[in-house]
Amino acid sequence: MSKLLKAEIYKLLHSRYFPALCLAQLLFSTMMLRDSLPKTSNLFYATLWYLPFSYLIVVVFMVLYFANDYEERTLFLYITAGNKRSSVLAAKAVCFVLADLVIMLFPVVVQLTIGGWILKETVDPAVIRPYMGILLMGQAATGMMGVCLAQLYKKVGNLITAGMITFIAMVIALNSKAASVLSAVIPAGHAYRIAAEQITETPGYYMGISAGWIVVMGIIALIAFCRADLK
Amino acid sequence: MNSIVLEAQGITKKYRETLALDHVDLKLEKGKIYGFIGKNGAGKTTFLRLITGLAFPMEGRLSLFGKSGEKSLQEQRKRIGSLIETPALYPYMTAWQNMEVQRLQRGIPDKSVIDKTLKMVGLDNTGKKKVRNFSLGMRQRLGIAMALLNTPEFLVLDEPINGLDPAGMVEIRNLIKELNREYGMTILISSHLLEELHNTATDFIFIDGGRILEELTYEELNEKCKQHIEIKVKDTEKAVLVMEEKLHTDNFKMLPDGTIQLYDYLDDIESVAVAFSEAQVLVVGLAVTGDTLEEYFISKVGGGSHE
Amino acid sequence: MDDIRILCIILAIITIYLLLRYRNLRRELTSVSKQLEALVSDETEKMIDIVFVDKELERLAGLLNEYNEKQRMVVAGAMRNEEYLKDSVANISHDLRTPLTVILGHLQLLDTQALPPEQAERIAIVRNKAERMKELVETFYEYSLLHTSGKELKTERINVTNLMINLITENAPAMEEKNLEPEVSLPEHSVYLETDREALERILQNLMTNAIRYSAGNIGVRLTEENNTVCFTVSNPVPQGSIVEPERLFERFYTGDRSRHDGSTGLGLAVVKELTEKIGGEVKAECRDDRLWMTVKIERSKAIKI
Repeated sequence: MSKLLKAEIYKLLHSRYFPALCLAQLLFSTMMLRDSLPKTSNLFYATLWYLPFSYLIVVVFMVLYFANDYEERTLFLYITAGNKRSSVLAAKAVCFVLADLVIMLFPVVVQLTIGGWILKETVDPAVIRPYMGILLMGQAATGMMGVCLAQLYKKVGNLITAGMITFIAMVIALNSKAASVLSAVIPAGHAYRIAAEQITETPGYYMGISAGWIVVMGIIALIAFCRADLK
Repeated sequence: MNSIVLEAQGITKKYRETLALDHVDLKLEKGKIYGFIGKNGAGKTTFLRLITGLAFPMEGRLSLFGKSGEKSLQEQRKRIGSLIETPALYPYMTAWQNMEVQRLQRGIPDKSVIDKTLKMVGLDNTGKKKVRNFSLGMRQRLGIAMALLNTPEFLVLDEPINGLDPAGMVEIRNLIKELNREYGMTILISSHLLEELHNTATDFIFIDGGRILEELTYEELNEKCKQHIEIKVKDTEKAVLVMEEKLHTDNFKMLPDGTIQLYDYLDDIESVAVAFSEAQVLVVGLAVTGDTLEEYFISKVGGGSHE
Repeated sequence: MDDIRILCIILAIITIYLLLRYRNLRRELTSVSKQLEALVSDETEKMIDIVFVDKELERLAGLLNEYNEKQRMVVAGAMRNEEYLKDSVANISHDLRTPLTVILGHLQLLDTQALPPEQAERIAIVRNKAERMKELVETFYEYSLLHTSGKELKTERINVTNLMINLITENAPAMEEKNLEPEVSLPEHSVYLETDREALERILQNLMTNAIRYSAGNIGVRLTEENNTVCFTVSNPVPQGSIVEPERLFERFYTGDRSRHDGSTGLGLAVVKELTEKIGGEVKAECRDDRLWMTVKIERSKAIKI
């Protein structure tokens, strides 16, 4: 599988869209920062407040990363070369999630350091540390959801639609009356919870939920991919 | 002593309600060049997809290099290089970069193999040109190069000559022959263009409607194409009667345009002429002649396809 | 205290990294060895593939692949040569056979009655030698085929009892000509064997030809079956002391007593030995009681089946 990872990383590094997406996310979340700063008690929480809305970028990334590969049939090159289907899916999923983490959290890091310097506000690492786990797992889980969607809706058109619907559903859910409950159940909402300082349970609770999502999404994606007749 | 590279037993594949492959039985021997010939939609690409692991058969057993079972098959596929349909390329990368991705995912050591392989197909001077700016012919060559990257033992090419100019066709044909000569590589080429394969393949497999019609060696095909009496008559029904009753033969074929190809009486064409004239069937043309590959295929399948 | 902690952490990280690298390197070395093993044992011709853990390992694998490529070209070249040779032999045999057939044909048609006795005798000698030449060409062709590994065996279930009967019947005229009688001993029931028919027929025919040529008396033909072994025996009486080394009979071109090799190429029995071994049997020659016994044994379990 590491061979496949190497190939995927090479592809990402030589693609045009990856740096573009990172930049886009940075701009977008920086803009949102102006709005969220007054709503939160410190810079760290401010960077996380609007994170769920940034998933739009993830949808775009998902389409570019998966559906493109399907349409151009370049994904099949891995299979005809003799790699196991599960390895192929695993490599792509890992790469996607890691890249996704980079896209989402890179702006957070930038904002914490540069922003902190500009606003003369330092954030105590002790505040951040307990939430690292939750954040990473939450992002990973959402990433896996993307992986799973991509296996179920392979073509570009279908995947965009599916992605958008999921995204909008999520946004609605997180802004509805049941938000307080849903934001715990939906991993994407965990970042929001941290920002709103509503973390009441142990970090393990949230990480467990994310882990559950990862497993379920992973299994669905695996089954969908391994049985598929690829055209 | 010829080991079997691929064996298919009763392979059947259905897409929705269409039977794409109908109990296909095939044995491919090492070191030969197979021409896999059929009209568009005959099932060639479907079969190739099954070989390369992109799709799974509904019924039947497939074995590669003597091994079968999904897991072993996938392992054996590392020994196969393939090009299915149009080449799958990353449009925003150069030829070299596309090859590098393949090299990495296959774990092939030593970067220099990329240049060596690109040179083999004549793409060693594309430099920084992105694939999306490649012509059809260049893309085809890159696809072939990617299939050749680890000097496979079994090369599967789906219509590789499609889209190439005549000079390119000759180059690829020569490349195929050289690969077979130099490495003993087994090659399976599918095509609906028959003339091209005639000069390249050692064996021919005809497929239509998902069924294997016939398997011939180069020599056998030449034999069949060589001799028959071509009869052009005005009244084909009567002519058929004459052949069956007077000449006692049913060894003939009717072409779509009414021409009859008689495979008997090759050395006694006079008897044929006499029989027809006695029955008052007007013969407009009567000659011993050979077939072109195209005609042979049409006679087997009826209705060929042309570019 | 903090400094030491940081130092420890750094050391720990370095150690873990080194250990991992070592483990990965070992694992890839094993993988490369396994792939080489498969190459050496002719299971595959696939180039070696690796996980890129170390530059030097990559270089090594790359060089091994280059070597493998050369090797494949050599093997392919050798097979091409063999094919070429086989074709050449076939063509040469054909080219030789055709005029010979014509020569023999015309010779047969020559009305030797109308010629003076001296001429008739010359014609007889010419005919004899022409026939010998034809036999030579056939045997050389067959022998060369044996050596090119392309000759494939086709296994079928053969009724060897019937085979033997046919053999004796076909050779009856030749035996009659020399006033020899066959002493046949066949089992009452049909004995079956799964092997290549052509090969078996050729083996037995060659033994018969040899026996007929050299026999000083009646020829014994026997077929027996014990346990799971089928046994064919052809025997003929030979003058006392004429065959000193029976085993040497199977050598190529060995014709024993030089003065008596009328018409023999010395290859017939060599073909018998090679073919017998090819189908998984064994053949033996013994001299007992002034008789030469040629025995072909095929054990059913050892018979090579395709």
